[in-house]
Amino acid sequence: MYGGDEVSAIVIDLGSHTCKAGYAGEDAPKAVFPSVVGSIDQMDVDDSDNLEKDSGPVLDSKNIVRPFDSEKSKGKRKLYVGSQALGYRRDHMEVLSPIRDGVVADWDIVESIWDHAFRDCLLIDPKEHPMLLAEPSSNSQQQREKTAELMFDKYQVPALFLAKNAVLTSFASGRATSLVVDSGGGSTTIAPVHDGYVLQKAVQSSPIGGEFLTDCLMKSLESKGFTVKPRYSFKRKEIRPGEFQTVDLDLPNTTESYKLYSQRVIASDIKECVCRAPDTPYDESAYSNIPMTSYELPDGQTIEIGADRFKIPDVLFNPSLVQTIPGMESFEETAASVRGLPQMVIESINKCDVDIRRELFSSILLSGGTASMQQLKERLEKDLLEESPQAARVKVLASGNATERRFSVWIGGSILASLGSFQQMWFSKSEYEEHGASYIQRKCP
Amino acid sequence: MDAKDILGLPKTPLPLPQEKKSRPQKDSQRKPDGISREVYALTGGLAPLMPSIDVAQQKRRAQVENEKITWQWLSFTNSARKDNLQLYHWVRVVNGVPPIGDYSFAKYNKSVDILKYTDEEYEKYLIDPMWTKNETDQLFDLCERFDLRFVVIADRFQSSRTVEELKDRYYSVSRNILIARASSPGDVSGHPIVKEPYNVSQEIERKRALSMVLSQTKHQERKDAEVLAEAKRISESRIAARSAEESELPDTSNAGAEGTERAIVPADTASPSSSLQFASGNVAHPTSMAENASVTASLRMLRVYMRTYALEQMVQAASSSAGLRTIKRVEQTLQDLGVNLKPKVPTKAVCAEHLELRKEILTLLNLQKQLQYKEAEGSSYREGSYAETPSTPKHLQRGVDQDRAFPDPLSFGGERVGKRDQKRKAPGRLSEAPSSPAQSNKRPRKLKASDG
Repeated sequence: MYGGDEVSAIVIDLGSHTCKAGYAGEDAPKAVFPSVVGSIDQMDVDDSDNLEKDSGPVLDSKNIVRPFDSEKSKGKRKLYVGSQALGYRRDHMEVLSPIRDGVVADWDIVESIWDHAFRDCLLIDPKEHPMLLAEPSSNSQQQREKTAELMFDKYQVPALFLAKNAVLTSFASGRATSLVVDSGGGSTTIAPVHDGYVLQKAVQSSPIGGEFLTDCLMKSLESKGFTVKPRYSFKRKEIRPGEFQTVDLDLPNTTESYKLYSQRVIASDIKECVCRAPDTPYDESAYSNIPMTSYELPDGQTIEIGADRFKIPDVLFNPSLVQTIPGMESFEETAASVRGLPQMVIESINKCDVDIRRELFSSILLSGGTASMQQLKERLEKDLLEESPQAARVKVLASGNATERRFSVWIGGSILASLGSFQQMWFSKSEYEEHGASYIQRKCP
Repeated sequence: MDAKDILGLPKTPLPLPQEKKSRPQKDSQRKPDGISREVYALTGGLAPLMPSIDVAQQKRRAQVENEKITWQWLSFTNSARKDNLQLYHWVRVVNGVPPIGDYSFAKYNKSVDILKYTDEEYEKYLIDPMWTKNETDQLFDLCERFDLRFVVIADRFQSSRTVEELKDRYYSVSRNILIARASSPGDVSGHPIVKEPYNVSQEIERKRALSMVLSQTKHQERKDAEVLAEAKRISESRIAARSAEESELPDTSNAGAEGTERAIVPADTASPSSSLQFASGNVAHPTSMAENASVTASLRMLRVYMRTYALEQMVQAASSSAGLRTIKRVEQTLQDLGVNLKPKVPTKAVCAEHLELRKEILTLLNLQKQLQYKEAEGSSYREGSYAETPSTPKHLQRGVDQDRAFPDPLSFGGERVGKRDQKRKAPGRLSEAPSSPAQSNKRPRKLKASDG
């Protein structure tokens, strides 16, 4: 491999929806699991809950490695990390996310996630491997310092580097200058990258991400009368061969957040299977006669989805559509101030220096889980062609492979950490001890 | 061959499978050394056109394998790093001796040479009202960190300054330091920054123009395109009309009136846009009649059609049959009527009518002259006898119709744009109505009455 030199670095990308971790130099992360944890407050409950063997069917494991519950007793809380652990319903288990509004709020949870990644999924000792972490494109100095402290003090890593998501995506497609449209679980961020550096003054972000769309879909289904039953809440008995009867289970100690989490898992599966980005802006009357697609829920119920197939993805392009979905009124204020995807792209480019605008227009990259929605690339290209200047040639690029789009940040990190000329850029432990955590601002631009 | 050996079959060739035998013979002959037969058979048993495996290389590989090669996970230091971080990687160890030398990628650690100034130098040469020392220091620090990537530097700079301002400050500081540090001006005059200093205003102008180009949306482009198409259509229709008129007037020599005729279209065109085509094509036609041959020749080359000149030519052509005095009288008549000798606004309609008018006046004057002759004759004949009347009917005819209103020619002229000369002349004669020989009208009538 030209320019490559493996030092067995580890690449971790902690996103708002999933956490991806793996060895640098590989083409896909080994450990992919949800970046939420189940937490049981020790005060309320005994540990004997673990012995309860309920019949909740096992979720599709996104975790490719062997199943193992990671239990971390953190003072009063017990945290359960990993899709296997989360798939198992426990009484009084709350589902918590460490990231709120794009910034890390709870560092304990982050620690537990990293522990799970290192010890359970990758089976490594962090002392031996340099770490490359992917951070959001607009991360504050304080967050970076805290990350550095945690890594060096607790895990004793030999070297660390914090790279911005947009830069890694750009490298994954082989470009030093591009405009990265990253629409992941929690938010959509548009960041221009020039010569390998993010232009921070031109970064645009909107809270509409995959999870928001999932919520929209759920509310829409509820308003139509379909209830999405979480997997743990029913049992299917085979009465006659081929015929199943659903029995509802009553589990009073299940928390609301866990119920919501389980429902969201199902709804996001519906969204991934069924939803498509419409070719033209969504129009209520135009789509009223669209043929319905049927989807079978885990409890055997079959639902028909028609106009929602196109309405939900169009929220990305036209956030004011949210108001037409019953049950989403709480988001109305936020949705009003948010612009659609094409407008954000144009705004972001216009905030950049004039000289690079042409280049940015001709290399717009799509990444993130939501970006692998069908027809999204074509729709975005079409909308941008309308609003962009004549002189600029608009080109939206996305790797054909859906897996690559989801993991493009991780893949970029894998490429970067295995380059020979990158080895001089690590922020090492000795530098940390000498200059302190604030030195990271200099070392990781 | 050796298969037969194994099977113990006789080596003498049997008559039947002769083809098969010849092939195995060729195979065994051509098997090269260095590769096993099975591998060679993978190629189909025939030699490739170009030798794909170099025998000499194979020998070398065997030699190298005499040494002991292992791969070990060893630590290394990187001279591009300032600390002593030791990372590990796989190293090809030959005979137990790890490779020496620096990390092979350290040579790629290049950076830009940024001049550093001291405080005294700053005080002496580099003070600028727009920039504080703090900012300048910060700028230079960022320049070093980001290797003069000004777009990124402008992004990370604390206060918001444009890329041009930063570049300007950086280059002027560098230039001043260079000149100040140089022992003599001649030393540094070769340096690029001294020879061509950074031109801020030009950069700002260039960027402004570029941003204007880039801010034209598709909408505007479409509108512009529509307008241009419309204008082209209009000018093409004018050319068509013009060329039709042209073919009637054989005297016109510079009939190169296609293509750039649109150049003369003055402000009365319908197209509203300020498109550049019109502006560039507009050759300011000189209103002075002092056109010499060179000008006309060059104009003919440009195929520009100038109406006043064409008009003059036509006038000359028309009046060539008459003498100088007649022309003078025509012009006198025109002035009496209050018409300019040269039309002020030479549009097609106006020019046509002017020509019309001139011709009619000419005809009028001719007729008047003839009338006078005839009158003189008539008066002389009257003394003679009344019998000579055969000439008068012509007079009568002419005379009667001379009463018609004068402004008719103008309206006629406007209508008769595409008609033939002869047709025009005939009705023109009829519609002539001179003011002077009013009295002479009566006499032919009287004559008629008396004849009737």
